[in-house]
Amino acid sequence: MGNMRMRTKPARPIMLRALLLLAAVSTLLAGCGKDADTAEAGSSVKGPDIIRLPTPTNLTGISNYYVAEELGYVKEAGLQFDYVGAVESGQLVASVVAGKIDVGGAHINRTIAGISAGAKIKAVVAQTETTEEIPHMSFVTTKDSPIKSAADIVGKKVGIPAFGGCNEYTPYAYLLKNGIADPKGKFEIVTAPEFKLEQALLQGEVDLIGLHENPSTIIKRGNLKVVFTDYDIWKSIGGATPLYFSNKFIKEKPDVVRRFVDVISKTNDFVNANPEKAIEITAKRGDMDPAKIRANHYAAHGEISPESVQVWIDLLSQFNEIKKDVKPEDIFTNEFNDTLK
Amino acid sequence: MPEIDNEILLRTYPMNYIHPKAKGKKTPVLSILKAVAEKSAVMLLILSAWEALPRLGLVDPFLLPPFSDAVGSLVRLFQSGEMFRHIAKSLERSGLGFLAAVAFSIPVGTFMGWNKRIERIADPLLQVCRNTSTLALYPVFILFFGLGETSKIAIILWGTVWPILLNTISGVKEADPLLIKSARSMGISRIGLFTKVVWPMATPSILTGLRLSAATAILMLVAAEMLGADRGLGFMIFYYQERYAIPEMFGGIIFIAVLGVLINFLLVRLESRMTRWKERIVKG
Amino acid sequence: MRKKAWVRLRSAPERWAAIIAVCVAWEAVSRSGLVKDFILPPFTRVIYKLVQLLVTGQMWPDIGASMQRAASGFAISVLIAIPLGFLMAWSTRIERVLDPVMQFMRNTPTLALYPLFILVFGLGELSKVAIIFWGAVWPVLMNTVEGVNRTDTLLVKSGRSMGASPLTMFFRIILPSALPSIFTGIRLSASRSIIILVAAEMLGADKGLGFLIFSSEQNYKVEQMYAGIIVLILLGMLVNFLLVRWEKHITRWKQDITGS
Repeated sequence: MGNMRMRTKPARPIMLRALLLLAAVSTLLAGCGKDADTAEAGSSVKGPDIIRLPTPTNLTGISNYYVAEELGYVKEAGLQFDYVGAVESGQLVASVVAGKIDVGGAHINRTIAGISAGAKIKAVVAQTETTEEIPHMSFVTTKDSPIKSAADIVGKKVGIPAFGGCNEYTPYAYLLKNGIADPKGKFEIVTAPEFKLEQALLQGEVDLIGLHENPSTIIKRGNLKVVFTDYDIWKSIGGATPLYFSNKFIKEKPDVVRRFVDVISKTNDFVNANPEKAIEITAKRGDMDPAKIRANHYAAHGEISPESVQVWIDLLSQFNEIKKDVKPEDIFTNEFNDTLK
Repeated sequence: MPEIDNEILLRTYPMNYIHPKAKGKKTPVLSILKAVAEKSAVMLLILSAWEALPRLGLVDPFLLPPFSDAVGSLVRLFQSGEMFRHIAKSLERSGLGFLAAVAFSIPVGTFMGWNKRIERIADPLLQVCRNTSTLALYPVFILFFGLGETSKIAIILWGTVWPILLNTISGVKEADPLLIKSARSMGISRIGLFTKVVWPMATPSILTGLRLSAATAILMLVAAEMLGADRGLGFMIFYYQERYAIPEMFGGIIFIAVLGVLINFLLVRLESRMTRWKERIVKG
Repeated sequence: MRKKAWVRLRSAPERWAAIIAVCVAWEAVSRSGLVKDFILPPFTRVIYKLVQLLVTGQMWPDIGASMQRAASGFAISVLIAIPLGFLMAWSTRIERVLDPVMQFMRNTPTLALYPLFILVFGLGELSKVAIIFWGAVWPVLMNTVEGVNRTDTLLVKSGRSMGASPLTMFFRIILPSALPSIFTGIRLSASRSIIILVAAEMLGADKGLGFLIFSSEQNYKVEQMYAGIIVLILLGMLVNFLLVRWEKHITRWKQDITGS
């Protein structure tokens, strides 16, 4: 029996600890519950309408969210931006569909592919677009590389940030444009985050890399050269990156969408007119070196041009990446953009 | 004493001591049917929920396609031969990483288990290494080995080496000293001592290590193929996700899970078969 | 007692020898230029950076965020796994029913399940905690089941024959004999929750040690990256050390009994 008593002894601290854990968890759960409550309370009171956005991280260009906030456009429109945390670009569409964020935006091809795959979203306002100096993507190799033309790329190793989308299809389109039919499989693809690609190129692991950077900044590094950019393929229409909402959000709060579109289109025009100021704001808010931020060109008045959508629908359907019946009007609308009226 | 903690992670349950299975006199067919029904009940429940939620529109099918769609996509991937490309490449990577781990761990583990002092010195380091997540070291692997095959195999090697190594050490260390002494007194050669006495005694422990490592080699694939791959089971999950081919992505996840369960199951069987002699001796 | 302390003191250099050797080798390989700076900066410089990050307080928010996530995920897994483990061990039917599903769950790589975690738990803290829970729950669960199952049949039988009530049986026989195994499980789960942190913080975090490691990598801050890795390792060691101590303390009665 003595043994028995000894055995029960250790049970007490366990119970105590279990209780502590329980307390910890319940406070945690309570905390979550509270968050949800306050969020709901916020929307029922006549405060600003909240728009949940992915936190801009690892910025290489201007963040028009930050610019819009700093200029006071957001507040004026009765809106409030809530940043929910970084969202990987591959998860953007899913996060919007799942209602975890309200707005997503990346290269238009992601929106098209998502909608074709059944994502109920729609692009409502344009952001950056390609110019000769500031293309969406530049394909880069070492200065002494023998790669000079599309034909030289055949059989080589091409490093891109991810499969699919602009990363993969821009080089295909370049090969196609230069008379190389059926370019899929004509070169080997290696994926790695953009910041790793340059190192891989310099170490000879890949022969050509795709970067979302300006030719001028790439050339400035001295040991690199630009083979082509999306401007060489499509001029200005290839690099659209409009923002989209879920159809559900648009249906429930068309007025919020309208005000948001207005904010963005005003911001676009401001950025184009004052790139230095926009860079300064982005650098300050993002806590980064202004020299590392490029002054993207933004679509005037945030207008989504039908050609910029069509060009990618054509390319993606050519490679059976999307369903054949996808139409531009499934992808975008300018109807919420009052500045165009 | 370094506990072989990982062992427990993937161990299947031993005989239930509290409720020894009743040796019923029912017809075997019936009891088998019953067992099958019991074993598959929750699974079926989950799968039907998976099927129903998107079909009923409770979850957007873009986010979670019905189970049948995922399986259908997987079947199509097999029919087109696409799947075999991924399987072959992944098994090659897992296999190489696993073999390298075995080739390193068994000799080194034997040596360390035999030399208590060396084991004492190395153990803290081994514990640190084992408790360092592969993902935390991911950038280091990429820095050292680049984006090619080497870093993928190195990542799998890192994940698989510790279970075998630690289990080999403990197996050798815990070999019955009485048997070793008596074998020595009978004038056994040094090689004979290992092949005839120490290793057979360490076999159950080493086998557990091998099984854990093999299972880990499959689990590590997804991390290993996250970067710089153009085929493989882990790669295909990311690839189809990028392409919004969500049914295909879930097909890949299902396949990797089934493969892991299958390998684990086969190795458990193998292990219990190979260690049966021990139970016989103990019981006899 | 005194002898024990002396033995421990004497074994201290032995216990640290291998780790120190690795650090020295690291320093040498890097200083000699065998491995380039941007791949492996010297150990001392990494430590200097680490101290700097700690002193300036830059790293504390990351450590805090990570600890909070790991602790929450761990706590939830313990709270769920121990009762569930007892249930599974108590009824073979429940075990039979749940086992196949759990086999699949354990064999599915966490990284592959990100889309599901986002779908169910969103992008915030909750899904990170859920991922840690997912990684940490298995050891406690398995060890609880195992611990209960290994209860000496003789003890159970004699308890029954003495007419002990189920409650008494549970608290006096089953729980005490399962405890050591459960503690091992708890300790393993705690280590796992640190290990899995990095995976959890790859999913859209803006602070945390895993985030620190990957964002330092992206910004070519190699020293900071290694500093983050070292903190993560130290944290794992610390948690393990504390729980081993605790485990020994709690299960001492067992050794006492067998000893006497």
